Amino acid sequence: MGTRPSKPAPKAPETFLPLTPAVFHILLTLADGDAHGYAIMQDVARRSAGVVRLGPGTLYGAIGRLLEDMLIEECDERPVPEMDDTRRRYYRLTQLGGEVLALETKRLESLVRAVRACKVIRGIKPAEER
Amino acid sequence: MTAKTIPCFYRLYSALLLLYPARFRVRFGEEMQQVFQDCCEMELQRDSIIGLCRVWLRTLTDFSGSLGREWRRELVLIEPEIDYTGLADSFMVTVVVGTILLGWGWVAAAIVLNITIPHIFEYYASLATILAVVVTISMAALIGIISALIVSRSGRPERNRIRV
Repeated sequence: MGTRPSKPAPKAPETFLPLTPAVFHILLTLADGDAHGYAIMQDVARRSAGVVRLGPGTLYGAIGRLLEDMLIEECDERPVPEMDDTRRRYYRLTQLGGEVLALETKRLESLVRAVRACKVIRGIKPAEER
Repeated sequence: MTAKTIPCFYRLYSALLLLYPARFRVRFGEEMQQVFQDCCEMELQRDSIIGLCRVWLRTLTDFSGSLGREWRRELVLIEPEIDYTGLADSFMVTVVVGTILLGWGWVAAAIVLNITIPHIFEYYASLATILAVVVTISMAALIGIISALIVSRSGRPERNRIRV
């Protein structure tokens, strides 16, 4: 039987880029404060105006990878322990997670800037504005 | 929607969770159940049957996608707890030993039959057949040994996670 190695050292933030929309939204939600799975799911749907809807499988698959990569961590404190279901676990953004989120935001900003600078694109309006 | 139907939904979802890899299920199963329950309760508060159907549809769509992803991750991308090299070795050894035993057993049976019942060889097997069997057994054994050697030397796949 193979033995599992001890926790690997954290990778450089830029190695995680680009992030998938789901992961970007999860990190963004956790940047606002600690949250449990359902709260993350609701917040992502609200923030993306319903465009990104995470099901439990996708949500916890992403959370699992984010935990392994040390971009988020589980937190012990519960905001209202007596009102809460014990099955709920809360997650928080780590420093590395914050750095990755900041880098991704910068990357997206530069992309948007490049698109806006493009003469052809400037003349085209989105379908809903036409 | 009756009070009995809703716990059935939860049980059905719990049963679906059994299809995920054990490691993932043990770590996140309860939380996933809780999230699913929260989604259903939200729709029940709104008294929306269509909403409940939408939750199921979304959950099933998500389930079908994430199930494959998690199994792929479990079997290929992270170091599996099953020692596949050892498993492959054992399989090869079983194939080699099995082939030799079966093949030589067949040859021995043919010889014994030839001794005990004269001339039966003419009907059931000729010398050429026995030779062909011997060559086949030896080739199978040789292929098995070479495969086992290749597998044991190739090692495991690199630890390489998919992008989060």
